[in-house]
Amino acid sequence: MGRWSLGVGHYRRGGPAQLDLLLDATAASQAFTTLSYLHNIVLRFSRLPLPIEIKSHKLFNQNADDHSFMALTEMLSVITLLIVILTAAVFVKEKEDGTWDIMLLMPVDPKVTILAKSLSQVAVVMGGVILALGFVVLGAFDTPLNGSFWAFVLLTFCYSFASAGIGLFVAAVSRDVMQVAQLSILIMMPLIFLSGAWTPIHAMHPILQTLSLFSPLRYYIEGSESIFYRGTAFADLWPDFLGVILLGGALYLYGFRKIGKLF
Amino acid sequence: MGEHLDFFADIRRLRKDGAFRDYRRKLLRMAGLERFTDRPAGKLSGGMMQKLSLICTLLHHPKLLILDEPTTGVDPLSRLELWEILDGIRRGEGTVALVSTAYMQEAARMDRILLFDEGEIIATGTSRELLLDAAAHTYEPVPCPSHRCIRTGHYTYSLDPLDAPRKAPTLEALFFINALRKNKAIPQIEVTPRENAEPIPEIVMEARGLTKRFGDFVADDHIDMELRGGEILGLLGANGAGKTTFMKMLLGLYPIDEGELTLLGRPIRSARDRRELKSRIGYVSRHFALYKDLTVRENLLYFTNMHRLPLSTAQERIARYADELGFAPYIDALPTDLPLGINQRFSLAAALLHEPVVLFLDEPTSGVDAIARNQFWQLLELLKERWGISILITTHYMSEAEFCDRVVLLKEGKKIADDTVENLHRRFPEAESFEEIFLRFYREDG
Repeated sequence: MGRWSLGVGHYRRGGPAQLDLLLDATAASQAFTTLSYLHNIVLRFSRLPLPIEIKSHKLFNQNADDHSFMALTEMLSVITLLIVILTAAVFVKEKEDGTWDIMLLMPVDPKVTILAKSLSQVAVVMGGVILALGFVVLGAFDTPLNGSFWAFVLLTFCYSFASAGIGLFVAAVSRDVMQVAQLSILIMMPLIFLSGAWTPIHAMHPILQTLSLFSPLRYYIEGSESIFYRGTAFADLWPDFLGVILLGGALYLYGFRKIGKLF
Repeated sequence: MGEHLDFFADIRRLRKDGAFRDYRRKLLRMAGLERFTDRPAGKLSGGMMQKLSLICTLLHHPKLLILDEPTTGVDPLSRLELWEILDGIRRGEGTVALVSTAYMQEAARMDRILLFDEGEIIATGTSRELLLDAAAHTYEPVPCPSHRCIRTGHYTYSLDPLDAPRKAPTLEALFFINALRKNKAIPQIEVTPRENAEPIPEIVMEARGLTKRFGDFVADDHIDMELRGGEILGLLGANGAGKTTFMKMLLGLYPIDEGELTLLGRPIRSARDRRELKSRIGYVSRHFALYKDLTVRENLLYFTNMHRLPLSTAQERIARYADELGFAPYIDALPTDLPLGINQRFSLAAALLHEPVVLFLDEPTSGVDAIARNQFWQLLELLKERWGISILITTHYMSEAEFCDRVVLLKEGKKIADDTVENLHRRFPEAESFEEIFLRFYREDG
């Protein structure tokens, strides 16, 4: 802001004015939107018969490729959807096939059964994430990974409990796999929308910005972007981990209780 | 329901004139569904649903009617009503009906019968011709002298003449005689005594005033029942009479709304009371619930794991049951690839692996062919004899009631009879089969 007014001051005095802008391009869509707004503003000036010249230098992501950003955020959203649907499907398929009743009659603590069945799906998705990361995100799309790979794996593991919790809730209220599919989409769309995966959070309406604090995906995406693009140290990732663990823990506990009632 | 009828009329482009409305009303009256036209089809009982689909296909006066097992899983009363509709239409409209069925009593009502076995027609003719053919081989149940002979619960079939009193056969006899003619070995079922010698209490299950409500609907209304040690108790009733709900209450799959339940001498008040009993109860659900993407062996191993049996014991028992119950050749196949009769026996094995003292079987024989059903009952008899196990079983086949020590009849959630089969026959001496007794009960009270 300071530089902006300084530049305007110079300009008013008739001298050559210089406008320096530094944008954080690791917050990709945010930076892009801001930049194009500024271009428009400055271009309006340039229509006046004034000597003005725009120079932009890109320090990060020089070719302004959006695919390296899109690949990551898309993967994060898909992880969410997969865990929700897989966890819910495991339980609902048992309801459909009638094996659920058999399960209830086994001399095993229902808590162990729920935990085991939901963890198996988390494990499947974790395996998938590592493959997708290696072959697609880092391989095909050449997304930079500046931070720790294991920090990302740990963050994903913590986050998967948030999704699994939603999955358990969906399973508790659905009767068949069809309902699982419908309900999952219905729940996931606002969560993904509020996470900043598609629209920058700071460009949202203030009410939506507040609501986005309750989307565990928001912390997951922010944390992952910090790890991948900014190379943030593990110790500095604690706000994102905190958000993911708190919301994830609460969601999983809720889902666990909800489906535990059916046992 | 009304919308269903309108929809079927619309896709057939029927003109909805006076004649159509009269015919629609006539069909509804025949099906006894007049009062329910506003009810969503999803809330109809199995029997009503079948009647509805039948009258939907009758709306356009078809000349040829093809019905594929229209009565499977439907109770005797609804079945009888279904046949009455069909007979009425056949006579009134001259419709040709081609019907497949697994119930031999129904087949006997047809003008002409084709009996199928393993993709072949094994007999054809009228019911009387077929029975005449079978009568030459059917005797009272006596021990078999040779391998050209099979003994079932109520009959002995033999290709060679036997020195035994003859008995009037049913159409089911033809399947057994066919199997004998083809020299097809029907695997003998064997049961070895169980390993744990846990004593079985005299009264295994005692229910006092058990009640289950779903909203306003009372599924089970204050039912008293007792299951004694070493007893096979048959739970009979029409669709929606509350049999399955009652069984699920006993198992704790539905919460009990009212009443008291004692299982194996222990009053059941909470989930904790049940947990310790779980390893002493076996259950086979209606659809032979098994994991479809695991093989038979994997399924069984999975269940033994859940029961915490050591692996060596588990493998030994699985191999033994596979031999004794005759599914050894299928042990590495997926359940979906197997005939229903095999699935039925292997789900029973899954319920027996932990050697329970009481078995709950929910319609274990529906949709299974005559020979497999007969084998299944032999198996239950053996279990009762060798293990001293108590069995509570629900079934749609009234002929199977005769295998039970005692039967309980449910109607609209109420118990209407509880007696031994012999006593019931004594009460209704003129009834030829248990099906008639059942219908008598149902009609008297209704």
